Amino acid sequence: MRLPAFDYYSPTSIENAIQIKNEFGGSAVILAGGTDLIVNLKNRVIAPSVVISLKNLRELRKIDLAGDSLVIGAGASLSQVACNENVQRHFPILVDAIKHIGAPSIQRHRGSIGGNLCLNPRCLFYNQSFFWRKGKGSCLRTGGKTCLALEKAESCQAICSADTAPVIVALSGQLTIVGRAGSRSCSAQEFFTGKGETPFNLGPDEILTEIRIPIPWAPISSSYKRLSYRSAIDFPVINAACVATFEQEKIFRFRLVVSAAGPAPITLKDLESTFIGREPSQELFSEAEQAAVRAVEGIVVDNSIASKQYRVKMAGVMARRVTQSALTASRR
Amino acid sequence: MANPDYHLIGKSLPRIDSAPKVSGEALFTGDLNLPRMLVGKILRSPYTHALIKTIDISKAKALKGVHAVITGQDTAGEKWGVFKYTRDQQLLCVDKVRYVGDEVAAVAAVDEETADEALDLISVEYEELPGVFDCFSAIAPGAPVIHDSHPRNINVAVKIEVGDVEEAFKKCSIIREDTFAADEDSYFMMEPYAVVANYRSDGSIEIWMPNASPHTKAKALSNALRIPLTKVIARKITIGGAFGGRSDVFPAEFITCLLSIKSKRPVKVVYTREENSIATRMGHAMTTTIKTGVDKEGRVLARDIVSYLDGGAYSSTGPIATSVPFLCHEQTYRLENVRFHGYRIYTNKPVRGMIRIHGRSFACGIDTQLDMIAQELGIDPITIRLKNARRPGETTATGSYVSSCGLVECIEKTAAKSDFINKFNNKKPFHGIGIGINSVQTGFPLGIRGGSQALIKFHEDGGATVISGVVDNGQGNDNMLVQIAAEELGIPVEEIRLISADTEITPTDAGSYSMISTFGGGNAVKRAAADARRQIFEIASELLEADPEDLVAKDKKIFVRGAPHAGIPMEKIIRKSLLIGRPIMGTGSFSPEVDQRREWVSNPRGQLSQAFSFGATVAEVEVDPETGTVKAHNVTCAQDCGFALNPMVVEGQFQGGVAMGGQGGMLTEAHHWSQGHVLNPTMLEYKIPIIKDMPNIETIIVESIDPVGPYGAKEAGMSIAMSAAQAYANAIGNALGIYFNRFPLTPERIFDAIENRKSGIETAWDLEPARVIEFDK
Amino acid sequence: MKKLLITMTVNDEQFDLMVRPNETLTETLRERLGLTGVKEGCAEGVCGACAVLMDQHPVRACLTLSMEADGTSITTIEGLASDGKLHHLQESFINHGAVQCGFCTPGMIMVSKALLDEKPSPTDDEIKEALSGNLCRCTGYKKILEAVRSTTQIDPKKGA
Repeated sequence: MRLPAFDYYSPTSIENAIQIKNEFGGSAVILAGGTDLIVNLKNRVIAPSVVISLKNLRELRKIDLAGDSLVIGAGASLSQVACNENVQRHFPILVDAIKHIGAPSIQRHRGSIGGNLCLNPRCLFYNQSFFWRKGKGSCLRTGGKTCLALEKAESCQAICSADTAPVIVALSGQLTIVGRAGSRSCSAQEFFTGKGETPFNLGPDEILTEIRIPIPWAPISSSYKRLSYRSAIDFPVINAACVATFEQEKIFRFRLVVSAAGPAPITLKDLESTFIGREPSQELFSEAEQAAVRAVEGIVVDNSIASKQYRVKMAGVMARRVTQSALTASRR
Repeated sequence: MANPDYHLIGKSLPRIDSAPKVSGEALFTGDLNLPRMLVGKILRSPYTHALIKTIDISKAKALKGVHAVITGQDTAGEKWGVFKYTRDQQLLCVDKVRYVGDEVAAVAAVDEETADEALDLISVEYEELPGVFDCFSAIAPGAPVIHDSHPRNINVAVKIEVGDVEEAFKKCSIIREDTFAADEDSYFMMEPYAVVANYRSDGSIEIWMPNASPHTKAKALSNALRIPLTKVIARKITIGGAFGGRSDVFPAEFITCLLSIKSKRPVKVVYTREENSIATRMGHAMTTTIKTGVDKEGRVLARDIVSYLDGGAYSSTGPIATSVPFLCHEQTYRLENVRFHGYRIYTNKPVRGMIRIHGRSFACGIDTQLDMIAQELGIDPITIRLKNARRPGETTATGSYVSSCGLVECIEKTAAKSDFINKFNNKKPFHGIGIGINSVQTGFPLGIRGGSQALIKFHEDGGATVISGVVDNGQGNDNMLVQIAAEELGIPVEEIRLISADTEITPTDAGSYSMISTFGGGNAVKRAAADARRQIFEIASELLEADPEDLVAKDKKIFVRGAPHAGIPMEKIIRKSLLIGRPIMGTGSFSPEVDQRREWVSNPRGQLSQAFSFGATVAEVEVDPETGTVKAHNVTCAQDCGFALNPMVVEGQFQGGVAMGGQGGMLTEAHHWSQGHVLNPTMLEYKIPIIKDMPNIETIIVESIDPVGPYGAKEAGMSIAMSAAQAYANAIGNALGIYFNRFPLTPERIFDAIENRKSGIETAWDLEPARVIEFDK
Repeated sequence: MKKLLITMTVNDEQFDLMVRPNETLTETLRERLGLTGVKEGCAEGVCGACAVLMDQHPVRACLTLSMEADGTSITTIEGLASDGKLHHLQESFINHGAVQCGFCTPGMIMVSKALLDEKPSPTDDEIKEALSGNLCRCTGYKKILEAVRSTTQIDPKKGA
C-alpha cells in the first residue's frame, strides 16, 4: 500500500513548526512516531498536503520535574516515558498503560506519548481502506451526511482507543498547546471534545507540546485496566483508570475514568464527591460499576468488533475492578 | 520413534529450506523482480450484488505509463470451477458482480502509483441489486437469485444415507437434537497473495504464485488462456503458508497472465491484506443440526445431520467442502445408521474454500453433543469416546476401509498425560477440561488423479538431484522428500538437491492439498530412490563380487552388510555407470488405491482415501466469568500420523494446529459483517493468536505404521488442528457447565451464555435448525 | 512532491539516497536496495514481518517514512550473518525447527536480536513480551520460543 503524495517538513524549532502549521492549517498533519498516522494515510482516511515531522524537535522529548508537576514532552517516546524514574516513582499507572499499547516492537520506540493521546478515534466503518469505504459510502468523518454506525447520530461516534487517555485524565493532567497566538494550557479532560470528526481541542495552527501531571502531596493509589481480545496488538474493548488519595482510612480524593466507549474518555464526576469520606467496600465498588454502566449507556454504539451491549457491561466491570484495585492497593 | 533400521528417517533433522529463510535469501513471489516488469492492479466491485451496465476504460488506457487494461470483454466470458458442473466464476465479470471484491477490470503500468491512478480512471456504471447474506434468507422463497441457474441459491446438495436411520432411532434410549453454528474464519497465511506472469515471444508463459498444486494451476490456466499446457509453466517459489487457502484457482492468476500477454512484458500483482482476505478464499460459515440416538451404554446407534454452508458468491471446492465435515466425522466414529444432508448455499459474500479447521459447527457440534449425552448417562467424556471411536480394520459408513488407526491410543494417551479423569471429577470453579477427537484423509479421489511421480539423477561426485512435482507451502514437504531420498540412497541430506513444483521440469503430482503430499509424493520419491538404488547395487555387486541383496547404501558408500570399511564410494559407481553406458536414473510413481468411481454428489460411496490420520486433543482452560475471557493453560495433543519421518517437523505441525484450531479457531477467529461487507478484513481486527496468549503445549506422537504410507507415515497435524477446536469448546463448556453451540467462543458470547444460563442439559442458545430442503420438481 | 536526499547506514554500508517524502522504509529497503528479506505481510504495522533495527531498536519498516530514517543505522536480516557465518539466532531457529513457511522469520529474528542485545538472558515471559508484536501462523510459537531461549545460554564472550 502506497502513501498518498505529500510534502515533508522537519522543522528544528517549535516556532518553525507552528509557522508551517499556520501556513497550511488543516491540510498539514503532525508526524510523531507515525504508528497511527501512517496507517491512516495508507487508508486515505486523511489526505494532508503536508506532513510535519517532529523528529528534530529534541525539546519535545524532555521529561522533567518542574515545581509541583512532572512535565513530559509530547514527543517523548513511549519507552522513554515508561523507563523514566520520575514517572515510575510517581505515576506507575502511566507505565502500566504504556505497557498495554500495541506491542513493544511496534510502538515502544517509535510511538510517542503525545501521539498516543492524539490517537485518531477508531470506528470499524472508518478505519478501512479507501476501496472498502467506497462500497459503503462516506460517513460523517469522511465527508458524508450519515454515520454508518448509528443512523441518527449527529456527530461521529468513533472510539477514543488510546490507553494513556483515561490515565492522563484521571491524573488531572494539563496539556500545553502552542499556536500562533502563543501557548495555552488545557486540562486533559477538556482536550477531548467528544466529537469524532474533531476529537481534540486543537486549532489548525496548534501543536500539543507537553503533558504536565501534578505531583500529589499525598501518596496516591491508582489502577489501570483494559479488556481486549488479545493481550497485545490490540486496541481496548473498554478501559478504565482510577486514581485516589486517602486521609486516614477514608477516601479523600477520587477520580474514575472509563474510556474506549465513545469519542472521549468519560469521567464519572458524581463519584468524585459522593465517594469522599467513605471507606473502600464491596458496596462502593458496585456503585462504581453501576455509575459506569449508566454513564456509557447512551454513548457506546455498535462500531467495534465487540457488541454495544457487551461493551456497556464491560465498562461496569472494568470500572469496578480499577476502583477495587486502586482502593485496596498499597499506596504510593 | 527411532527405528534402528533407519539412519536418517525418524530423526529430527533441521529442514533444508530453513537456512535460506533465516538469512532473508528465500524469495517469495512478491520478492521477484524481472527486467521491464510492470505492476498489475485489479479493479473490484465495491458492491455486494450489481449488474454491470457499462465499463469505460478509455481514460485509463490513455494514461502515460499504462501498458494494458483488460475487462471481461477480453476473456470471452471464460469461467472457472473446480468441477465441470461447478463452473460459475467468470475470470473477469462481464455482466454481473456478486460480492464485494469481484474482479471487474485490471491494468498493468510502469509503477504502483500509475497503476492506482489508472484504476481510478476506469469508470464502471453499476445497477445495484438486493443481496442475500446468510443461508436462511438465501433459500427463502422470493430471495434474490445470485446465479440464474440455481433457484433458491442452492449451489450444492449432498445426500448420504447408510443403514436404516429411522429404525435405529427406535432402539435408542436417549435421543437428542441440537443445532450448532459457526462464523466464517480465514487463513491469514503470513504471505499475502501475489502473482508474477511472464509471457514470452515463443508463445509460452511462466507464472509464479503461492499455490498448492502447480500442475493443477497450469492446467486451469491452459484451458482459460487457450495456450497449450506444455507452454504454461508454473514455476517453483517459496510459499508463505496455505492452510487450504491456496488450493483453488483464482482469477488473479488468469488476469496477470492476460496482462502480460497484452503488454508483452512481465507483470506482478501483489495483493493487499484486504484483497488476500476477500478475493482469495475464506472459511464457510455453517449451521449444523445433529440428531443423535444412543443406547444405555452410550454407543451411538443412529445419527441424522443437516448442514447449511454459506458458500459465498461462487462454487470453488463446493462439493468437497460440503462433504468433508461429514467424512471426517464418519472416519472418527463408528456409525452404522447415519444420514447426512449437506447444502452449500450461495450468498453475496466472498468465496469460501477448504480451511484447516473446516466445519467448526459440525466437528464441535458432534463433540459437544457427545458430552451432553455422556452427562445424561452419567459417564465421562473419555469413556463415551472410547465406546464409539474408530478401530483399525473397520470400514466407515460410506465404505472406506481403515487399515491403520491409532485413535484409541491417542485418546488414552492424552487422557493419561493430562490427568483428565481426575481433573474432570474434581473440578475447580471456572476451570475446565475438554477433549476433542477427529480424523482426516490423506488424499481425495479427485485430487490424486494421476498420483505422483519422481525422478532421481546423479552427479559425478556421488550427489543426487531429486525431481518431484510436490509443492512446499511451508509445512516442510521439500525436506520430507530429501530426507526420504537420503535415507534410501545412503547419501547425506546436504548432497541431495531438489527440483520441485515446476511444471516444465517436474512430473505430475496431485498437489499439496487433501493431506496427500507425504503419502503420495513421499512414496513416489521413495520408490524412485529404491529404483536408483537397485541400479546402483547392480553395478556395485559386480565390483564387490557380492549379491545385490547383501548390499547396504550408507554414508555415500556401498558395502556388503557388516563390512562398511570395504565399501565403494558412490561417485565411483556413478562414474562406472557412465563408462559402461548404463547411467543411473531412478523413477518412481505412486497412486493411492481409492475408488475412482466415487463422486462427491452423485456417488459418495467407496474407498475415499487409502489412509486416514487420527488425533485427540485435551485442553485445560480458565474462564473469567465476569468478562467471558478465557485463558488456556495446557493443551495435550496426540496424533496417529502413521510414522513420524521427522519428529521435530511433526511437533511443529501439531503446535501450529493448536494455535490455529484451538487458540484462534475457538477463541477469537471470526469475520464480522455489515450487509455483506466484511468488517475485519485485515490482521488488526481479525485476531489470530500471539505468542503471549499461547498455552503450554504437550505433543504426543502416535505411530500406527500404515501398511502403505512411506515408512508407515500418513499426515501430520490436521487432525490436531480440528480436534483442538473441539477440545477448547468442551473445556470452556466444562468450566462453566454450559454447552456452547455458537462458535468461536468470543468473550462476549461466553458472557452472554453465562448471563442467560439455561437449566438442564441444553445448548446455550436457541438457534434456527438446518432442515432438509424439499426441491420443487 | 520533490525527492529529498537522505543518508542511511544499512547493514554497515552507507547509502545516499533520493527518496520520495511519502516513501516508506519498506519500499526503500526492498525496492531500492533489494533487501527483500524485509517482508510485507500486512502493511499496517500489525504482523511484524517487516521489523528491522533502527539504531538497534526494532521498528516497523511499513510504518516508518524513509525520511525519518535519515541519519540512522538500519540492520535488516541480510545484515545479520558475518563472514559468511550465520548469527547464532539464525542457527538456533534452524536447529529448533522454528521456521516453517518462513515469512515471519526475518521479523522474528530481528526483534529477538534487539531483545538479546539489550538483555542477554531474558526470561520466557520477557521473550514472549518482546515477540508479542510478531505474528506467526505456522508454528504455534513454541519452537520460536525454544529457539530464542536456547541462545540465551550462549556465553557472549565466547561468541557463536
